[in-house]
Amino acid sequence: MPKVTINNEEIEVDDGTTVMEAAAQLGYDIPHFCYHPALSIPANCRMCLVEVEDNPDLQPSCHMPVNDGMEVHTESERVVKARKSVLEFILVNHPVDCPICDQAGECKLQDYYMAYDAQESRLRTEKVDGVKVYPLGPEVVYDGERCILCTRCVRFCEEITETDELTTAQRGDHTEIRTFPGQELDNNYSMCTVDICPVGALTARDFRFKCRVWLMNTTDSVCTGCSQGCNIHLDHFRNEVQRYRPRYNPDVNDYWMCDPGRYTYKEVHQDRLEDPMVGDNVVNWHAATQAYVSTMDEALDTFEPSERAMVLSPQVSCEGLHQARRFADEVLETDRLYMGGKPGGESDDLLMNADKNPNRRGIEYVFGGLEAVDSFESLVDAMEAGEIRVLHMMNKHIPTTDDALRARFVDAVADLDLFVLQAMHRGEMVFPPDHRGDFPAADLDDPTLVELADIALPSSSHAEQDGTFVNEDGIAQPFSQSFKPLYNSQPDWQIFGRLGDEMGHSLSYRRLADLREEMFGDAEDDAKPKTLDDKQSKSRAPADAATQPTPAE
Amino acid sequence: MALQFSTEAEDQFQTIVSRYPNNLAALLPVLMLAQEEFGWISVEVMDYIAERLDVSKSQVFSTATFYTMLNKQPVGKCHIQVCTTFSCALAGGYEMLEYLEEALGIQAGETDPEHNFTISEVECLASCGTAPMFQLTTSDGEIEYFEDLDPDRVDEILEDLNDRLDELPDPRDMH
Repeated sequence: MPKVTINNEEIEVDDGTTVMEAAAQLGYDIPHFCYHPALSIPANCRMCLVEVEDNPDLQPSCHMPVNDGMEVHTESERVVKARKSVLEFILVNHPVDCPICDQAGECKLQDYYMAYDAQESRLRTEKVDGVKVYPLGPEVVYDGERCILCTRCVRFCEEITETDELTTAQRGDHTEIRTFPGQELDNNYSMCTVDICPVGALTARDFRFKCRVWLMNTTDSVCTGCSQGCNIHLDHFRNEVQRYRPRYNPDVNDYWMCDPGRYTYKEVHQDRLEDPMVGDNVVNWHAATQAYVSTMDEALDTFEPSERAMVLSPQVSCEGLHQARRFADEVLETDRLYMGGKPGGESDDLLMNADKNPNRRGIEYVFGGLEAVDSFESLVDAMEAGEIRVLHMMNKHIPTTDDALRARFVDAVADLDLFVLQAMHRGEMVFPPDHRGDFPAADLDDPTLVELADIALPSSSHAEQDGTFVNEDGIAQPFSQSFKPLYNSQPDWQIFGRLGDEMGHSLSYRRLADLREEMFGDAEDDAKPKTLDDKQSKSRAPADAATQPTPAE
Repeated sequence: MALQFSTEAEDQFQTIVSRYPNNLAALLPVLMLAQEEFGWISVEVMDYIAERLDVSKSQVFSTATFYTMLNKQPVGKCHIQVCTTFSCALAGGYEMLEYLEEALGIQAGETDPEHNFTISEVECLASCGTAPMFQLTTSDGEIEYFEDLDPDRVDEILEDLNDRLDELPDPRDMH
């Protein structure tokens, strides 16, 4: 294995490691634009030039493999001067209008300009005007003046999605990023080009000019769009989710996430069930709990355990599901459990899964297998046969797109003696109703289940609580609370704890950690979901983590 | 109208493709062939070439827009490319360009309304020893150098060309 000396520090690295990767292992972040660890290396931006001893020219460190005995300087006077010159060329036609640029605050060009160049342009000729606000596709807007032509977006479309939409057109200072005439940048991952754009050239239609990036706080979270469980940075400002960005995790989603997944953040704020309700009345939690205790006590006396049932939601964290299991066991004393959640949807070969629920495997692990959980169809059959009189339902998703079955379910609910709904939303949220993540009015106007519920309890979204999702590959992934529960909602695990305690069973936990220790039961380690070590999932990565060179494992 | 190479062009196409290790390498000569065949490189032509070579459309678009010798707009039947780089400029390239502009009544970069002539100002065509010069591309695919030019010679050439105009196809009608 070659030994290389970087800034007088020696390090031994694997064969084929580039100078930039070796430097990253020592903690030196060499400035770069075009290099991206997941893409091919064109070495076209020249920002990463370093000095290699016995070599008359500066070398692009992203492209240069280390040799044994190589001595590299990444911060020498010559290198810093070269960076300044490279930036001066890159900025020849750049407007340097950071104050009105949406990328400001997370822009590598801005950072490097402040670090290395920070001077007025010496050119007295007029700058070449580029195109402004050019829509490349439904999600992405292009700004030709701010583009530095690193071609990361082009290579992303060639190498990751393999859809080849983007290319460079024209030449010289007229070069711009374009699609083939008549085509659009319209694939399931088009917004990843916005993430990897190191400057303000590509912006997302959904996020542009919505919030300044330095105002936002970032929480490590997990996308709830499907069972893939892509790791995300959840960017939020004043208790509102502003956007999702993919968070690097080589075992789950690499650097990417899909566009429909990104739009699922809208679920956190649209059409929420805000307060507990008893019948048609909005009440506080105390009153709702009391109403629950009295009606449920009566129902437990009246109806056999086999006449009580619970619908589990694979939208809920493992913590909530563990409490649901205990609640069904100890309070309802029933083993009639049914699978809820969203119906299946679109899928592709990269990240998007047909199962639109983030935690189906979580149910499997918490309940020790899916044998104990029956299908939704059998629930409807049992309800129609009058076998079920009491139903506690988590979330109001109906896991089918079959209108007849949905109607049968709603009719059967109306005949129940006691129907408790514990849900995030008032309406039926089936995602994605369309690509942009806005819900059709018809769905929002359909609060039938809430109206039918004898008691409706508002639960919190994943942004408002700590929790765990187990993704399709059986990897347990923690997510963190971004802000306090919105409106009067509470996390599912706390709702079950509160109801259980009031019903005379000690169900609540003082600390989530205690619950977590129990939630995957007494199973042997190999029957539990995999957990990743701390290296990716827990680290609070810098804002631009997706563009940092990755040290070799 | 779906584009299709003529039989002769198809033969040339096959020869070009067989000469290169992969189709991407054949892209430039095939685009030149397509320009000869279809008069100019429209979006339909790029689409057809991408399909024939099995390379991505955006790659064809990128290459076609990079090279100025590939015309993305229809030019005149006679495309006169006047060199004004150093040697030609010193030997009277600009004067000849002005003379041509006056004779044809159009500016460099323009095409006359009948689509007979287009004048372009281009960079060095590697004929410095015989400056000033221009390159003439006619819509039948001929490329010819005219060197050591003076106004009389230009008049002569233009007269010849005017005689030939009726034989030449209009690039606008070639596909």
